[in-house]
Amino acid sequence: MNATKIEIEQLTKQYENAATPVIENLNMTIQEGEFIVIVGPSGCGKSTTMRMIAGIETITSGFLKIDGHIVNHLPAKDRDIAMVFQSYALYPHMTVFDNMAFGLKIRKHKKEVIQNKVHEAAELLGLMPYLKRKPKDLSGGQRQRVALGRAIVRNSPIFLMDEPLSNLDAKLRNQMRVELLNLHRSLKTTTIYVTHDQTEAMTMADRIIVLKDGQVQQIGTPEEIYRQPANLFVGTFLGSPQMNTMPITLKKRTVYLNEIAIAQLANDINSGRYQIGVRPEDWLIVETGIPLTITHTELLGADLHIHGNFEHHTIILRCDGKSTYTIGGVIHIMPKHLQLFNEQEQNIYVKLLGE
Amino acid sequence: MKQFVLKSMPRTIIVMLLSVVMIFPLIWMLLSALKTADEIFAIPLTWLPAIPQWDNFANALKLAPFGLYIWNSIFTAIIIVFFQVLFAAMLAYALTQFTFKGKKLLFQSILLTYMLPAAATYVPSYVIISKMGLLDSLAGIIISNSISVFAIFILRQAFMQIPTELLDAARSDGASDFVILTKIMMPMSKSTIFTVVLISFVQMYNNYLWPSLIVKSEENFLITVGLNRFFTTQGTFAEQWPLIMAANVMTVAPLLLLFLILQKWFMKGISDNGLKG
Repeated sequence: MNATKIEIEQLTKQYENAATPVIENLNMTIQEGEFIVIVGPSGCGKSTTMRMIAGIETITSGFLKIDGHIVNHLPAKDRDIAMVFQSYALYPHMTVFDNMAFGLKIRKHKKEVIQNKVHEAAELLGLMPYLKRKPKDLSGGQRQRVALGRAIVRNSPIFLMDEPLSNLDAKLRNQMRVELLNLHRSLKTTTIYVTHDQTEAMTMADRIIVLKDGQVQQIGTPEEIYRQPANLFVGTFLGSPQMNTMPITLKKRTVYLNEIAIAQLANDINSGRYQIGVRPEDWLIVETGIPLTITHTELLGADLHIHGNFEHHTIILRCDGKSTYTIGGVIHIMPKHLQLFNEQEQNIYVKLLGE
Repeated sequence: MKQFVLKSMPRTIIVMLLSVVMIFPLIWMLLSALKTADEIFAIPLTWLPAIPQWDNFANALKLAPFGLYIWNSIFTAIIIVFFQVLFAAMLAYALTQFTFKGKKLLFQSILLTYMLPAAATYVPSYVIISKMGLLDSLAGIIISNSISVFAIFILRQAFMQIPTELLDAARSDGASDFVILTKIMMPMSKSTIFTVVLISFVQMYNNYLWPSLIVKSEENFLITVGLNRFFTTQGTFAEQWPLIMAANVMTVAPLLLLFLILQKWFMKGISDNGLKG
């Protein structure tokens, strides 16, 4: 259907009394029909970015272009952007039908058109039996659907979703996640989705934008973000359990962890002190390597997470759920893949010998 | 349970006594409206009229157009309340939704005018009304009363209770300020607005001093002014007292009726000051 390209150039938001900007020099281009997820810890400016796009927050400097037109000063009501809020923001004095029809009524659509569109969306979201109810008589999941429905009926070229699933319980969240994706596949609306939930980010996004302190850390596909994190922050922010990080010394392409040689780099990198990051699934259990004293194991069905100590380092590795290990026992491990971060915590993108 | 009853006994008795003191004049007025003059001044007091004098009402109406007075009062009160709510809603919207220089100062100065004794504003207001050529007209009464600081304050409080996300949602749904005010904020503050309407209406209906300064000709009299005039002209004659009482009953009747119908809302208005959203 209709989808729109969004370009953001040098976008900055600074509140009057704040020392540092909430968002600084944000640049990105969102393609037509793309599903973009913005992730980051709370206070990183992800919601602010979204609100600037929606037009409910003013832009301090930079440009926001929708379909090539600068819309910095276009009021929210004229941007034709549908937004889903974390609190759902349903109008409590209106029925489900009226909630969904509100945007259309304002735009003075014909009664039959409104009726058709609302019924179509209600059908899609399974809300037909509830059209006459008020929001207070609905469950969380139903309210969430109404909020979505309100966005869908508008037929806007852009959807903005601000943590729309965070108020739902885990099961419902998984279900709604799939429904949202199906919806996006059928509507092909350009979507920007803000979340702090990394599962949502990894599973839903065409591309992920990782924000921290108002600065873009990395923009890329979920795989790029996971496999090739631009820096230490991105590496540790996405992935569960977290990426293991530890300081190492590099001498002639050999990685030493507390005097133990744990890996040979394929790339020629200056010797010195670095940090490495190893994903829990990137450890190999071997005959001789890092001796790890097992402190704790967690069986998650298919996977087993092993927590262990080596000197003062805590390491987590993930292995097959069928294997068993005794707590207090010692296993030897070696990384089969790692990230090497320099002093500025930037990734140097190395490969191991034989990788 | 028994202990509780015993403990609350003195309080209950005091409240009951106070209620009797409060309601006695009203009952006395109702009864007196049906008595003859002799019965009103009889010693010892007679409670019930020997024969209810229903003619008192008709006779009172013959002496002064109370119907017109009551109509004037209700008419002006309704229009005044309409404008008060309209202006208060718009001002409260600006005070809660817009950011502009001097917003705080504006609100503070609005509150400041509330602190001024009303009598202090009579002279300047009178001069303004007179320069506008609105002396001795209902329009003068309406215009001079059409802004209520109380309504502004209460509505502002109610509007502040509405979650910002809801208004953001309305904005991205394409709603203009006017639509947000009339379709979202006012319906959501329904109970507060209703309370304001009731309180303001009663206040305006009972308003005496200021209207009595403005209106001079009888056809513009509000009921409060008309009643006072009736009392001062007829009150010297003892035999007219039943008629005065009848006029009083007619004056109070609309409010009593309103109170009986909307009792629940009056109580609510008093108990939560209309601050609930």
